[in-house]
Amino acid sequence: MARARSHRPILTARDGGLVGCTRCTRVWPLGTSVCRRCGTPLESRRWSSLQRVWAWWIVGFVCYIPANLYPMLRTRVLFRVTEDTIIGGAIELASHGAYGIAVVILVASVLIPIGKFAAIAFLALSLHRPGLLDNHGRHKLYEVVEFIGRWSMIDVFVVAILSALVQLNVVAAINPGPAALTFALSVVFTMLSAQSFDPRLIWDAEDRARA
Amino acid sequence: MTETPPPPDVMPARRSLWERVSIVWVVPLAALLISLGVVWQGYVDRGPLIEIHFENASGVHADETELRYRDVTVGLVERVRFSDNLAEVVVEVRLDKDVAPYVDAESQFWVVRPQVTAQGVTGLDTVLSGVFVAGSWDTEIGAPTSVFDGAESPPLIRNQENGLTIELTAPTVSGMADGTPILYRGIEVGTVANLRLSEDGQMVVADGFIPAPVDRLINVSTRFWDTSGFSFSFGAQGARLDVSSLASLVSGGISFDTAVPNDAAVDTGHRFLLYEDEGTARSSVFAPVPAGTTVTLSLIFDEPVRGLEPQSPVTFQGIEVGEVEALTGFVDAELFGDSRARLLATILLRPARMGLADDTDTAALVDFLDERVQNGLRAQLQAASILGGLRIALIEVADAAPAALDRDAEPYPVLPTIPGDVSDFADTAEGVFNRINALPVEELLQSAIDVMDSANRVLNDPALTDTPGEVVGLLADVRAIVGSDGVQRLPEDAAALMGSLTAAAEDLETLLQQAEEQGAVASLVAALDAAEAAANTVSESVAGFPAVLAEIEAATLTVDAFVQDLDALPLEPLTVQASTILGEVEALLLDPATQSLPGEVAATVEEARAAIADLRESGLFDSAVAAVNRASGAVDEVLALLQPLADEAQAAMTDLRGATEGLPGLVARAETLAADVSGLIATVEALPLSDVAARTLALLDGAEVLISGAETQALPGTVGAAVDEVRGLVADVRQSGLLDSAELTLASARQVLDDLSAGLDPVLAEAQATLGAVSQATAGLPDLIAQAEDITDGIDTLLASANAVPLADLAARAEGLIAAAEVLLAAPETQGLPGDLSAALEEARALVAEVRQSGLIDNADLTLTTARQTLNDLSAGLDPVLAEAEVALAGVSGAAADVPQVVARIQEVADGIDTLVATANGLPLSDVVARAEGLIAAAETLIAAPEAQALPAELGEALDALTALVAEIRSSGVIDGAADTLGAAETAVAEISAALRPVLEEARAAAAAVREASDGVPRIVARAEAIAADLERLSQTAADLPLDELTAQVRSVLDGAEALIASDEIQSVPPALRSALGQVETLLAEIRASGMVANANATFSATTRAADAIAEASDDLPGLVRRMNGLLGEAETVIRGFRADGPLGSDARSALRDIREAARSVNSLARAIERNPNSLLLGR
Repeated sequence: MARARSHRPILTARDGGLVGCTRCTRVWPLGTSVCRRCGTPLESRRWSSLQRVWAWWIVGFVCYIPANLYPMLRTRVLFRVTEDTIIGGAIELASHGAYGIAVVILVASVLIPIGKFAAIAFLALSLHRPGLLDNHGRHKLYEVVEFIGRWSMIDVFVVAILSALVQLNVVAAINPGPAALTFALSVVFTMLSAQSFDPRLIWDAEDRARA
Repeated sequence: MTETPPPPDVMPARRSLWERVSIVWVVPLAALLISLGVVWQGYVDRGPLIEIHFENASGVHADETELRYRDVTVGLVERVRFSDNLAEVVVEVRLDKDVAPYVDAESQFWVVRPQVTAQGVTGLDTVLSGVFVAGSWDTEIGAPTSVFDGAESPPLIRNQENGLTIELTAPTVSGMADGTPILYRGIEVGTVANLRLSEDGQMVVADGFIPAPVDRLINVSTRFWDTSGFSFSFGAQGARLDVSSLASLVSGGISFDTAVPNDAAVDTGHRFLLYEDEGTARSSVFAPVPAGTTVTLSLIFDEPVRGLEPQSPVTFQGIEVGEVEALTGFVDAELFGDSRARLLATILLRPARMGLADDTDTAALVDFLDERVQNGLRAQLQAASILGGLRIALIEVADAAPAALDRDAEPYPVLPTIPGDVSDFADTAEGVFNRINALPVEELLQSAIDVMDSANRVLNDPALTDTPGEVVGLLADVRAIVGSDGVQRLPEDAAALMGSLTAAAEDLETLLQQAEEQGAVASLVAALDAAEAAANTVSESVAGFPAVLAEIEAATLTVDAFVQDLDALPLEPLTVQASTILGEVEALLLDPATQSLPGEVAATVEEARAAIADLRESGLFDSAVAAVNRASGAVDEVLALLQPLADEAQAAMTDLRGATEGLPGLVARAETLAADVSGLIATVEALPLSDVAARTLALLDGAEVLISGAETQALPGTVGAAVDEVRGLVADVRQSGLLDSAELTLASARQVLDDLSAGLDPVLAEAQATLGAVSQATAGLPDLIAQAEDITDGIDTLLASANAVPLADLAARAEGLIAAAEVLLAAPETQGLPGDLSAALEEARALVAEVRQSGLIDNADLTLTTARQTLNDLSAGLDPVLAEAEVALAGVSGAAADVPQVVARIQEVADGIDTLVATANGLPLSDVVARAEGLIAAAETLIAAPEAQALPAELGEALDALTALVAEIRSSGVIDGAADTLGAAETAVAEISAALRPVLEEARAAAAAVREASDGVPRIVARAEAIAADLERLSQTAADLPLDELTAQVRSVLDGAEALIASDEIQSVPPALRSALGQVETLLAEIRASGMVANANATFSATTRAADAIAEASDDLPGLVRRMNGLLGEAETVIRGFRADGPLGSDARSALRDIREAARSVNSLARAIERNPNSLLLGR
């Protein structure tokens, strides 16, 4: 997509009396309720988009709190049981000198989720207060959030794999802690929140601003 | 560029608030609710946080270390921190909510760490899992407390255990440590902990805890002592080594014992003293508190008191009641009258040990002692042991000099003393040395020197010095002998001898094996069994034998006498007389009168014919017919009356059945009788019957001649004439109205019969009664049968006598008689008999015709019908009778089952026979024979009489009657019954004989066994006698031995030897020895020359031969073994004769019992050692 930085007004489908299918990208005359090509319900703008974004966002955030408070891993070596939260584990790794792994964990489990929360909240808020970033930038941001969301599950995968592999009976065992579940839920809800955002609203906002 | 269409005016419809709110808001709401719920739940479930203050918190980590109660996790350490002034470690523990209420001020906490102590390893699990904080609290909910002081070591009582906590005190810590076990009879029943110093620092105090139920063993009389390690004491009581178990050697231990089991109980925290050893503890039992009241006294001793020192014991009646406190010199010239130093001993007495109250004060004790002193109580020094040491004993001396307790003396009351009884060891040793000194050592040495001088003289004797040379020569000679050929061959001969001996031994072995293989032992055992059985049988049968033998003997004697008497009988005259009688009979038959008998018979027949003619005229027949009718009616009535009679007969048969039960005996008698009869038959068979038959043939020939005679031929004609006359008679009768009158007569006769039948009723009743009487009489039949038995016995005897009768002569006479009969038949009158007979038959025919006309036949028919009816009734009546007879027969067969009894009765019968024979023996048989002679004479007369001539006719009638009777009998089935009876009797007899056969077999076997057994008895007795005789002789010989003389001789020899030994000529022994050796040398030379060695060789070879002979002789051993078998059998019999309850048996039993008890003791010992092997080591 060519970066059109001119202030030339953009002709939106809605302006053209059309409605585009968000799935197969076919455009239909405005008022068509169902895409006749792929059967997707057609809406020129999702009126409840923002509500859903915020709703999922809140749930995801609620889940994210215990994910950091409760232990992620329950490691038992002989008779000694250690429980590590996400940050605690990263710090411990770092204290043992494994900085790389500590950084990876911190990025994947802390930085990215928090960044997503922030990005989604920014997008949703910027619809009403544009100016901090132009429409193209915001759209870009939205696409990044969409893309990166699926990688947030990496922590949960690590826990799942470790739990499955390290079951050495008496000697050692690793079990997922309660934080693993809440973290996974948090990721899921965050992705739902991102998906609920209708990027077309970005451009409508510019229109309104322009108007 | 196309025109852009105008933007549509899209205005979303205004929606309501609910329509504008998305449903998705439900999700965050739910998430919030859940979160809040979880948080609230967690807050609610969280137990209280308590603080435990420890001195240190080694191994306690926050969030890791658990709090456990009874080894169950009930909390988690949340934080470990210091108290404000860093004085303590504060461990914050989050309690579980469930147990939190129970954790109150009483709770105790301590840290469990791995510990390795002498009592074992504890807390091993904490090595891996880390330490944990253990808590202990009761089961009561108390006021919540949050700050606790943690204990450094586990408390004694955990988790509210029941038990008793006491305090143990000791001067030193010796034997006590944390965790030292408290033992009771070696079992650990409690522990000691919390070792500390007492408040005043004088004692070591430890807490002891004894859990229930052992705690009830503790009371105020309980004593604790230290059993750790071993102790070795060497004191006044001598050496003493106490070793407890190795475990307590390592770990220490405290034992206790309670002297008075039911003494007063103690409270928690009661303080006990820990004694250093068991002896001290036990001796303190009667002094409840050793540190109790003491009373101090003074003693003044005049004598030296070396060995007495402080802490020396003071004993009272042998019991240690105190100790010496101090010793000091004491000078009091005023008191004692001189300035000599005396010893003042201050003693401490414990009244409690003297049996006084514990709180007895000085005054009371002094009173008590004062009283005792009046009775002779004194203090005396005594040796404590042989090794030295003194003690002070308070003893009561019976005749002590009067003294008093000086109770006013200062500082303490003075107890009077008496001189000591110190038997010093040093004194004793000195005495020993004194006695050694007194020994005459010098004299002894002088004697020794003399002895040595004498020995020296002897040894220096030249003869003695030559002795070795002689010995050398002797040895050379011996070597020469040994080197000679003969001696060299000796080993070979010996080897041969040994070979022979070995061969002999092998032969013996083979022999024994053969004996073993041939089952000698088995047959021995079998033979012994058989002998035992035979002996049993014999002993059983022998018991009854003497009586039987006596009886047999008596019977034999009687039979003998009887036979002798029989021999003496005058049978010959009898025979002569019988032959005379027969001769007379013959003469009679040859007499002319007899010859004319047929003629008279003919005349008689003629008269009969006339009589019949008269009869024909008398119309008797009609009357007869009526009478017969009447008779048939009467018979009917009689039959009706006969019915009860039949019943009676039935009853009679029942009685008969009872009577037949006596039949078996009878049958036995019959058997005997049959035997006799068969003997008789044998005799009869010996008779000249063929001659008789020949004569009979001749007689028949005579009869034939008679029949073919002319008169006989004319007989039919005469008969025909007679018949004509009969016919005429009938015609006359028909005309004469005789028949009518006969009918009248018959009517009257009928009337008579009616009357008769009426009169018959009582008669029949009478008959019935008579039959009842008969049935009663038959009840007496058994007796009758018994009598019959006696009678058969008589018959038996009679037959035996009859056997002896000269039947042959009789037969000869009969022969003559038959010859006479022959002559008689050949007579003419006899020949005319047929003619007369035919005339009679004619008349009979006429009579028959009349009868036919007169309806007699009908009447007869009627009568016959009635008779048939009667017979039917009779047969019906007979059925029960027969049934009864059957039952009777069953009774007979039942009686046959009583055969054993019959056998017994046979014995009795034999007795009876015996008696009978004796009686018969005593019978005046000669008289009988004389009578028989008379009888035969009378018979002679009888036969000669004319009436005897009519005998044949009567005989014929009798025979007819007999025939009819026989027919009746045959029809009545009596014969069948008899046959059955006989069959049953036969069966019975067969059974008897079958039963008798095994009895007889056994008797025979028993007899054989008796004979065998009795055969061996004399031999055994003879042997026993011989043995006894030998023994007697031996004992006599032994008694006769001149032992006294022997003893005297031995004594004299010994005397001589003594004298010899005592003689001085011992000095001359060496030369004598020398000469003797020279002689020996000479002798050996001679031996060498004389070939004695060769003789020895010969002797050895002879020995070899002897061994061979022994081997041969061993072949004869089987016989010897057999004899041994016999001997063993006898031995076994002897052994069997030993009663198990005899003295020997009881001795053996008691010995076995002792052995068994001993074995049991050993067994229990072994088991005890097995169970507790340590006891060997540890001494428990």
